[in-house]
Amino acid sequence: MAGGIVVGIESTAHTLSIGSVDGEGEPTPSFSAFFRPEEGGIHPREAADHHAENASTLVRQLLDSGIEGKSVSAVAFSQGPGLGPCLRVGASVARALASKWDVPLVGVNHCVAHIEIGRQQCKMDDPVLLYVSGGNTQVITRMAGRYRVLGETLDIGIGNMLDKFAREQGLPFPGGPKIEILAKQWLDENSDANLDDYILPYAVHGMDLAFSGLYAAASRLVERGAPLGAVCWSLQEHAFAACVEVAERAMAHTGKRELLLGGGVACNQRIKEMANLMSNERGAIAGIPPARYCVDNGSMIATLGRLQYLNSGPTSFDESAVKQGLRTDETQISWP
Amino acid sequence: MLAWEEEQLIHVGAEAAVSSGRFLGLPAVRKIRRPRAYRNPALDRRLTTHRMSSEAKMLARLSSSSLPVPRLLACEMSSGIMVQSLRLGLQLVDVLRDGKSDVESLMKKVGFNIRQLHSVGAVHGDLTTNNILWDEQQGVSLIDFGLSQWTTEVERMGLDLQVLSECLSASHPEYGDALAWVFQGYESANDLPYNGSDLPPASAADVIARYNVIRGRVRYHS
Repeated sequence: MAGGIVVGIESTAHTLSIGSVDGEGEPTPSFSAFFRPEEGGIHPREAADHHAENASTLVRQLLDSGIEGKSVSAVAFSQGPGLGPCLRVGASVARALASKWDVPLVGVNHCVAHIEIGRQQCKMDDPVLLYVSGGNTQVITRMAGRYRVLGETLDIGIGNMLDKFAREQGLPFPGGPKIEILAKQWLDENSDANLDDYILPYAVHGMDLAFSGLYAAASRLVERGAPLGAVCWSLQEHAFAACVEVAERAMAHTGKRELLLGGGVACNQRIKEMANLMSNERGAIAGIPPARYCVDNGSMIATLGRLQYLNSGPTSFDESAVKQGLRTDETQISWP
Repeated sequence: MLAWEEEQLIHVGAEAAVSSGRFLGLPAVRKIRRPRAYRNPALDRRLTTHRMSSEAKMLARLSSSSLPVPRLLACEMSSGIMVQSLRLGLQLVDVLRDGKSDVESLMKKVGFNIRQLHSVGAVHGDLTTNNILWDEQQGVSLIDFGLSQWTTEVERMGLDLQVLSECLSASHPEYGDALAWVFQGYESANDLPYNGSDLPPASAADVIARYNVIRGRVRYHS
């Protein structure tokens, strides 16, 4: 088996993605389709319909890229956490492919996949992961055979907060990248700006975070006449600093010296810059995977699927039901 | 600070570098909050000033209580330096990893002291196992009050327990009962007199109930 390809399917939220990893554990870029609601947030059923409509196209792209059933050793899929209807589409595609190719299934933990692709890409041994995405905001590290959540958001994910603010300001989904552009434009035009003119809450509770107060306060700033670009800038400065601070708290607490970024929000230049600055000051190293492996992607599912298959074996058909509320620390880690 | 004689660097945290030494001849610790380059300078100044003043005011007010917290000896806002009396003990994170102590009785004492802190209308804000000390003679100490608040809000007290719970389950999973022991100690504590002007602090049982509500709000902890 060691020489075989593992295919990975990701479908936890708005992204349906199919990727693969070769027998040496080297991932190849995924084929992805993104669900973008015309208005409002992600409706789980609409996203699932989108995934179902696009699945055959992505599978066709994978096959056209030269992957043949006979060279595949296993099919991995995101078993959770995520939106139930979306997860079920990915799991169904995985079961169909595994059955067609007569290879085992491997159900994997989506959050742990972000860590393993990051470790693989950045060649890190024992990092603290700052996982910042739409639905998830967690500080994770490995202790006693599991990836443990040292800190996390107590309300909404940072990406959801950014998207929600953007939506309210009439910016299309996903809002994070638009906020980044507006913030940068505004700062370029107002290089002497003072953040004290756009104060927002900074909710750090030990190693935990909260964002809903930040979202509400940012909306109020705009209502009171602050320029949208200035508020976008302030929102990023406050929210990202809080994330990087809890990551640093986790590093101080565990004594670890590698920081890994992951999740869609890790594509933002400002949070990357902050992660680098913090790590440099501590004499630590920051690892930032390429954007295609920070966002949700099938290749990360394949990467973790391969590790899990080699070390813990496959997931039986009966155990392959999706787990919407799967926690990071529920997954036993049996690989180095 | 001329009165300070440095001995050794103890810990480089996310907020401050802490060293031990003597202040006017007394055993003391010095915390230096340096600007953090990753934060916007205005935000950094605002946070540092706020946290230093929270910590200084909290320690000053608690100095008239029997609570096991450091005494404030000196504070220089402009340079981010604060000197506090030394509390003896090892950080709980190391005591638990070492595993030689009677963890059940220790965690009950931790819970007892947290409740007594809450009962005077104070919340710690950063109850990780780095900020709790244990010493055979001196017992439990609570340190590091930069995120503390004077409040009797049940939500803030519940959050204190959530922060500790998160840290215990992540860093010390081998003690599955640790939180239950903390809660036993918390519920068994006799409240200290509350002298503030707000509504008095919620009962221990109400704070634990709120903790469970907060826990339910966090993702994947249904």
